[in-house]
Amino acid sequence: MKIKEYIKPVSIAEAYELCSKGAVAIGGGAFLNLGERVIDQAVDLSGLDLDYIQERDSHIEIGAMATLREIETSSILKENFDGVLSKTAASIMGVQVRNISTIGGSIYGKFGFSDIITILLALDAKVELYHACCMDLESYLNSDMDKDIILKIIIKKNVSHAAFESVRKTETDFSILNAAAALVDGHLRLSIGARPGKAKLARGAIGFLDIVEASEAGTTLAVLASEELQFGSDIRGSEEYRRNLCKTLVKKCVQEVLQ
Amino acid sequence: MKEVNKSIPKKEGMGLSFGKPAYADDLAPQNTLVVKILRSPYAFARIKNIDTEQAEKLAGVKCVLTHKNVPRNIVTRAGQGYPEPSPHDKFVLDEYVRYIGDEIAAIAAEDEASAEAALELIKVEYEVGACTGF
Amino acid sequence: MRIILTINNINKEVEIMPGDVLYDVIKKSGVSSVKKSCGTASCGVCTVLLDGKPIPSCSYLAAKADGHNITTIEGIQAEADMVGGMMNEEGAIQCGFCTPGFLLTVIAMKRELENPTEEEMKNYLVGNLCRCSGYEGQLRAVKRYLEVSR
Repeated sequence: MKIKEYIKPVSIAEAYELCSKGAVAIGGGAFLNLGERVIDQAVDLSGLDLDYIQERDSHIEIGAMATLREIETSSILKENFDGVLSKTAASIMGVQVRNISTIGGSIYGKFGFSDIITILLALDAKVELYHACCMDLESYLNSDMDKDIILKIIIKKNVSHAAFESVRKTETDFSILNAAAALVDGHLRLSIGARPGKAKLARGAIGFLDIVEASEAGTTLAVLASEELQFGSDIRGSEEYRRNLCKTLVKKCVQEVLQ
Repeated sequence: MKEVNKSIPKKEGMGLSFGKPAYADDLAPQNTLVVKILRSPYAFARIKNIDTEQAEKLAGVKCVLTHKNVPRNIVTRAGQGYPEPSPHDKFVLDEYVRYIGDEIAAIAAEDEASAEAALELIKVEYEVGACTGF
Repeated sequence: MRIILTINNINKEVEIMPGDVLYDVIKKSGVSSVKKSCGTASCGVCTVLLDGKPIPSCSYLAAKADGHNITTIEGIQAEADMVGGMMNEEGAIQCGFCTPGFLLTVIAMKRELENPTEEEMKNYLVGNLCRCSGYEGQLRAVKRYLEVSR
């Protein structure tokens, strides 16, 4: 990546002004060297006090510049959502990368391989943007809000259980496939990522939850989810392999959450 | 049997731990030229034409090598010892490239930025072929 | 653009390009211990401590480090001497290219975690790849170091 100008704004308004005119916001920058992109203006968001994790009465707020390491070690996040957001962050690459990668950057990139997006989708996280205000993570992923600035991620505390599973070739590689499940307000949410496309909710599969035996739920939903979603082949695995992995990972997640 | 089962600390171990200069990049003098290689994007191709004129003209560029101006010596990629037993089956640079990443041209320049800029100025016309028959 | 880096407790004002990564700037400032290998934040060889935390200097914009403290092996000689000595005795140094980055991560881990379990150690050190000596000797040395310095 080549950067022609580097700007560190002191207000969010200023950062938005720059980004709305084509400047590119930089989170942690962990993947700086993965592309050949030329950036005229890079906007560093680290001077905007967006680095926090706060617990409110009904929800938890994570500032866009909170690092994955901060999410991993946060006592607030260890104590909420079965600690699954912490655990998911801990499974990503090495401690060096987690010290610089931010949650905002993980979402903004809309990366297919993202573990964070998969778990946040299951937890029904909301994204608060500077201009467009608040929206579901799912809507954000399908939108074209590249020029807006992510301020924070909001997760309601109405999650009774949550689980995350992934398979990788080595500890520090990207997931070949990942899956997450959560019980939000008593309703199951199931998301599958690294298909290798970006994470998606398996809406069809969970519709059958009420009509299957509790003991069979994991197995049945796993098969339905693997049939409902699209998978693809890349350097890490074939479509067929992913579809089969999906069954195993979804079954594990569902069983853990419904226990 | 005095030495068996005994661990012997490596002589250069502490120097390496502290990152004392030991590798080629550490030992390169200040004014060393930087070399960058242009690599093939194709698994098998013939270089129909290669134009290095603009790259050579770029400030800071000292030398541009292609298959046209390097001696057609055969070399080996291996390096087991002397005399070298491995097959000498590779030209320094060749009219044909045989894998993605095979070398097409080499540039020596005063700094990395000029060398990289020069890489982009080299124009190559390929005749892309199917990689078969090996 | 000009930035101020505190490298091993010495303030340095350096002229950089906006896209320069921290690794290049540290190296140019005369620090020999920091190495670069993969260049994509995957291997841990270029690890430095930024305000005490291990980061991949090959993938961190130097401009972002303006005003921050950077520590390399040269800045923590006494601790490095101790872990490095144990690594050497355990046969955990072969080509040595990954060793300075690994030592920095070990020292950061010791400061950050209290009595880590083996699993916690592995999780903290997983980002530092070694392609020759392997990890058994490293782990023996790390355990000895934590034991002795407790």
